[in-house]
Amino acid sequence: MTRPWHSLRWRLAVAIALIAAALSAGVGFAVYDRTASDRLTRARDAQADRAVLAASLLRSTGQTLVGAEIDAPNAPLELRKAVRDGRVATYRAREPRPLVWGGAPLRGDGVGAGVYVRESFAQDERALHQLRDTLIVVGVTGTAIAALLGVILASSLSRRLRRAADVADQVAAGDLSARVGASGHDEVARLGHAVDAMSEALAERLRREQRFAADAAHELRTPLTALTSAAELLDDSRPAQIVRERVAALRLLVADLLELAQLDSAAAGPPTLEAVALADWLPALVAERAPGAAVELEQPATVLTDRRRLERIVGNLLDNAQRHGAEPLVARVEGDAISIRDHGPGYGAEFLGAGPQRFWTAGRDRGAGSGLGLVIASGHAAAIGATLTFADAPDGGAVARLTGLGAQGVAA
Amino acid sequence: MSAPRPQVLFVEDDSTIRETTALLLETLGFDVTVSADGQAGLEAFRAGSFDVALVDVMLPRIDGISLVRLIRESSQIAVVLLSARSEPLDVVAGLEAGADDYVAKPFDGPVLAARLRAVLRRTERATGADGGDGRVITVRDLKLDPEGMTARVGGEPVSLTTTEARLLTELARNVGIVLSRAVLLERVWEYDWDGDTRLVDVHIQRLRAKIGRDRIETVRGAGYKLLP
Repeated sequence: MTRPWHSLRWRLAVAIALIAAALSAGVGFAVYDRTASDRLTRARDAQADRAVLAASLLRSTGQTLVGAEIDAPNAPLELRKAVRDGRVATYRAREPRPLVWGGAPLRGDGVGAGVYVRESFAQDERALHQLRDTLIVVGVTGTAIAALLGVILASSLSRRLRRAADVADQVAAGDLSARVGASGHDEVARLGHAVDAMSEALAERLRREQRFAADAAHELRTPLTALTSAAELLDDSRPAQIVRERVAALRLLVADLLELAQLDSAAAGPPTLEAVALADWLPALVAERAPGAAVELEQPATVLTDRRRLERIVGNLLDNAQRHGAEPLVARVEGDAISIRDHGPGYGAEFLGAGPQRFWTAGRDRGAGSGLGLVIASGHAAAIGATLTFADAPDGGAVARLTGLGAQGVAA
Repeated sequence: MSAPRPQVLFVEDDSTIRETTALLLETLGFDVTVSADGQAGLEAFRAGSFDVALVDVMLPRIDGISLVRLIRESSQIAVVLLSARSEPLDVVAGLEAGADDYVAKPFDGPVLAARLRAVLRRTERATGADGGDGRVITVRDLKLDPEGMTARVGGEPVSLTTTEARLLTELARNVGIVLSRAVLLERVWEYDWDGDTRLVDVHIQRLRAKIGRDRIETVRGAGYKLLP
């Protein structure tokens, strides 16, 4: 799994959350600023009007408006200075209490006292605080919701992308039946459809190639049968021997190709499971196929499997060890695992990296075998649910190991 | 003294295979009569007297499997099918039609000869040529005469092919004992290795159809046994 910050899901979610936060902060600030300045302007206008009204009332009737003071000594200095200069002015005081003062000169020439009024601004400030709190709550909640939605959206996106990537990996690993099965019409769905189409095209191509190999082998069979019989009728001269030898090699190749085609098409029919006591079975097989090999038995199990396929697997491993390896050969049973080891040059890094490939005999004794034996062995192993692994022993030699046959019981 | 050369009827449509295989079998000690298609094969079979029929699966006019069925209608002669491993369903159909064994193409001459000799030995043994003890084996109301290749179920005669007779004899001599497919392949068909277990399965089915379904029990993962 990738590290979190490498994941599209978290990157998208964080980006969406940041955008939501910036947006709600910006909008909130603008709303608050506008509201605050509106309220203050209205309060100042009201106090200026009252101050002018109070001044004209005092001039014309000598009466003092309720709440108005003449020459209020506690009015702010800046305000009094402005009024003394003959202007109508307002002042916002924050300390000790939020107040808005208004002041107007008594006489038009600006000489003498002024009339002052004031009004508390506390209520407005409370309202503004409430507005600010509301905006913060809305902003934070909105950001959280956006982040959550972002995670959900990005999760679905990244899950669908990862599904497509997983399927591509499966296809690369050889499972051509893997499909994304995407629904929808967006870009991710298109990617899914494209991966499916690619995998289908690959599978079709592989099927065509397998069919070709099978058909070719099939067609070769008839002339080869005649050729085999005819070759056996030849005398014992050296050229005749060579013909017989090569025909035998060709026959082996065609038989292997046909067997492989059958494995590919899975037409071998339902498996017949049979209890096979490895303690008896392996020594007999080795005596038949590789008489020079040593047999080691360690708590040999009895396995329930398809005996014919098991014979093909271990027989091919023994053939391969005899052809390409060197003495001594050791066939070993450990519980329900079978390993075949030789003391030749080993499989080599190239083989071990890629696994058994069709016709891979490069760098070896080309022509000795069909180059299909290990591929066939692997195919049969997969068909009976067992695992066939290849390795080079640290002290030299190739080791093929068949595991997962499933022990039924251990022979005493 | 030399044993008489076995008479083989070889039905194969490919002329080169027909010619070379016939030549090869001749050098390996058989007398071979060839036919090029199913119809000619059937006529040759009815006209002549053979020890074993070697029949290709794919034949013009009458296909190999139908030919085996037609031969079986009137004869318990040994029949070996020539087939390919890549046609598994053909093999089963051919065995169900009554073939005793099959050889996959392309084949080795000596392997083919060995298969033919194995199926012929079953006929000889069944007819007492190997000096069997000749006693009739009785299991419940089943009476088996290993020499005469015949069985009676409740007094009714049942006609068996040589392979079926050998298989039933093997089961009857070990009544109540489970015989694995590998053991049966070795004792009846003489396969030491690489015998096809379907040979056993199909022949057991055919035996069951003839002597009664419930007499032979399948023991999963082990094999078959004849119930006492």
